[in-house]
Amino acid sequence: MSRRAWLISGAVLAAIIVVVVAIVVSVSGGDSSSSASTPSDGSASGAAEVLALTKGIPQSGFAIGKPSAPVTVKEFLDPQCPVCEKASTGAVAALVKGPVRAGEAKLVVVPLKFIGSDSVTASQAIAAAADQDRGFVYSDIMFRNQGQENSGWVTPDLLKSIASAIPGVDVAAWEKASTAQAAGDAVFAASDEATAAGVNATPTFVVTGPGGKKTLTGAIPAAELLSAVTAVS
Amino acid sequence: MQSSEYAVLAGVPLAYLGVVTYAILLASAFIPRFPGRIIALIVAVCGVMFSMWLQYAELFLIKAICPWCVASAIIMVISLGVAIGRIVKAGDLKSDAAAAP
Repeated sequence: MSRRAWLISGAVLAAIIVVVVAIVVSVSGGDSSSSASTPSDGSASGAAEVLALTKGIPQSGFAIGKPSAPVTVKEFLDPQCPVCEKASTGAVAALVKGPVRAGEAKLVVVPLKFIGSDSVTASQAIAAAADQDRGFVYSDIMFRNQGQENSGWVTPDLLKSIASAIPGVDVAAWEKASTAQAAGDAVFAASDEATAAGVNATPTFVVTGPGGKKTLTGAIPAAELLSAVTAVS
Repeated sequence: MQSSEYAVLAGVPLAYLGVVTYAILLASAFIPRFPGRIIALIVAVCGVMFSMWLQYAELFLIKAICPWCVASAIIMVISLGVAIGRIVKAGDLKSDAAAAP
């Protein structure tokens, strides 16, 4: 083989290796933090934090906060979306701690299923929890247990352990509801709502109040969400 | 789903990565002789492989088709064909004496 042929082969091989490494790093890099928090013993982690965050705040269906609060924040999320997981402990936690607790805003979660089959199961479980007015708490605990996308991390054991970790939830009724037609319909309705609202990415926050409407998408800092609430109040 | 986690590689949005890739590919067409040919080949190989990964991610992980990504994948495959054509035509794979400069 000529010197150039060697050079070409070497360069192509190096290019292939670089691309493969880049893909592997991009896929595994994002999961390291979330998979570390996935429990190995089947119990839901982070439940205590979420319960402390939401303690004493009225909840209804997929919503948390005083029903008469002037501002409504709708969060379109996918239980598998890593940016939503970050928002859960960032902007969303700040929102609940601040305006939601103060009765100035209510937060409604809209669980979607666009990432894949694990999203469908997870969103149905959230819908079933919403039947018992624990939709937000359920979805928030789920984020603390998020695993790698479409890896099958949404197991019946995990879902049940989350339901069991929430005081006041009738686990048997929740379990029945999570696989019922109604839960599936609720998830489809959520998708339709997202399409109608022009939402094509998660998380998307639609903040509505007497002062107007603001839409925020992606990894937004807590301050941005809080100032949107103030802006429409 | 340009806002999904797959829209970013090592913190760089894919759209920027694509612009840079096509810019290098275009520049390589103006670089004469062997360096231009090998740069085009390397970029096209990377581009095709990455496009294939994106198609896989679209179909099986995100479950949404992005028309721009499909178009880009097709252009990348054509670019690879052209790059290989340039290499073969110039005789880079033959013995040193027969190769074009």
